[in-house]
Amino acid sequence: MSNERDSEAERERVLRQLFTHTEPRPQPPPGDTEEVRRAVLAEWEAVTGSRIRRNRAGLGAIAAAALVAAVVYVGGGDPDPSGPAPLIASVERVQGVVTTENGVRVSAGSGIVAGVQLRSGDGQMSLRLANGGSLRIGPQSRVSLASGDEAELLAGAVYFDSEQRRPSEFVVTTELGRIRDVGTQFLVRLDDEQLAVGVREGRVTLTRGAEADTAGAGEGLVASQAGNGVRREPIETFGRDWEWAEGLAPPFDITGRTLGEFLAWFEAQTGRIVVFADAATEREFRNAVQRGSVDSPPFQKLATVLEINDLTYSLEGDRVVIRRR
Amino acid sequence: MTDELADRRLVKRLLAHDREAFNAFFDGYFPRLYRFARTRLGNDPDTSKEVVQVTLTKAIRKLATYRGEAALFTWLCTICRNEIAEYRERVARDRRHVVLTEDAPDIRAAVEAIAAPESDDPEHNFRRLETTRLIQVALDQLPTHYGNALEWKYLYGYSVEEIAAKLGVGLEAAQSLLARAKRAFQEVYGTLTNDLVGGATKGGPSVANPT
Repeated sequence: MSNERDSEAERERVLRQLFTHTEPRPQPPPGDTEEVRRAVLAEWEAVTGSRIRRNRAGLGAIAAAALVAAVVYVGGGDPDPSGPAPLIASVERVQGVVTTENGVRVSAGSGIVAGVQLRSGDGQMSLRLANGGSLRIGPQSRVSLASGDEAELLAGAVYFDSEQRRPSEFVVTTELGRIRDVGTQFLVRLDDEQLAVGVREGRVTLTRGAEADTAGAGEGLVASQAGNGVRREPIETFGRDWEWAEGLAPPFDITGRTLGEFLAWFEAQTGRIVVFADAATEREFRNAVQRGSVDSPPFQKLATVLEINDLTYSLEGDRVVIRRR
Repeated sequence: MTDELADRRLVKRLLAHDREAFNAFFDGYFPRLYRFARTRLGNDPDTSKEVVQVTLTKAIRKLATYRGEAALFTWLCTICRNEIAEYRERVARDRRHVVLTEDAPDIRAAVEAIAAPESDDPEHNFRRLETTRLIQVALDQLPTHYGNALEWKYLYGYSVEEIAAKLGVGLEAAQSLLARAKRAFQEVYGTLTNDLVGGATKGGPSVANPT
């Protein structure tokens, strides 16, 4: 017993002396820690959320629900004694400050329950919907999420991308009409004077009372507060009007993916068409497997990826032309 | 509970989508892995962050394959090593097309003039830095709470009561944990210093015979 005490005392003395030779371990910068935490959390949500559902509901149900996984509930009102309301979306990105109508600040990774109203102020955010697809909320917007399939736009702008994975339609309701997607990407903007819908891909139907108007890719529908019917006009599916939504593009992990896969993602996020300047360059690079992981907006990411491959690009109208450096 | 068993339980909870487990996983392993990567990446913080992010993302995807045959940190370090190797390979490839600014003869002369040695005795300087590093490496090799507890006690001067409070355990449990942590540290540090030069210590003082 005495020997054991002596040995412990000796160990204590030795360690005290040894530690005088060192200093506390350096810590990662807090900003980096939070950035990596968000990225890893998103991956964990996607991987383990889908795994849980696969175990519980079988493979059929998983496709629709794969991306609902957040555990931080954002909702209003008192807790329901019958149990927590189902999550209808999780917050993918937040830029600036976005709150609920009760002033609760929303952060990446939060789960959203039905009935929550989101207010973006000067910020903006993107949601990954439980039933698939991405809903992005622009600055100065108020959006109420009625369910995983329906959002009410009270003011401002939303962008919806079905990502061609939804089993059900998504509807945006406004005081001036109801917009229904048919496997598409569209943008809705509501202000004091008018409701404007722009379609980048697929089709949407705008319903006002008994009237219904359908618009396809490259078309816009405008309904004014004055109630003079719906005006149809051609629109550009890329450029300034869409830029805020591009800034909220979902992450794309390029590691192990081909350049062609990345360019398909880029096209979907920007509405641009990517072409190679010549067939030889395309043959050499389209299937080249990529590495690295830079989470940045689509154009910035394109520049980085192309630079690594010793390529560059130029803009020609709606086309992005890729060539050797 | 052995460390491997604790790791397996943590992984099981992670796979069950337990948010507390995610926090424990991230808070416990990110800083250690970051230091692991940074040491091997020329102290470059941006690259270290990027490499560790890819490492953890890949680890999350492979979680279901973790069998607890090695400590979770060892498993993560293996993935991280592969990422570092890939990064180096990529950089080497890119460098073929890049002329570094600091390689221009006039700039290189200026840089070399600035980079004066820290000490007149480089060997002493190296030993000191290596001791610091090896102690930190040993702390990182221990289970997270062991490494933290030792750092709190010996570097921040916390009392056992304060350590107990930080760990959320009773006084007796904290004392017991510290005793286990000290023994584990002694073993790991001894292994590190002996292994490096075949029995003699490389980094400076040994646990058995501190100078």
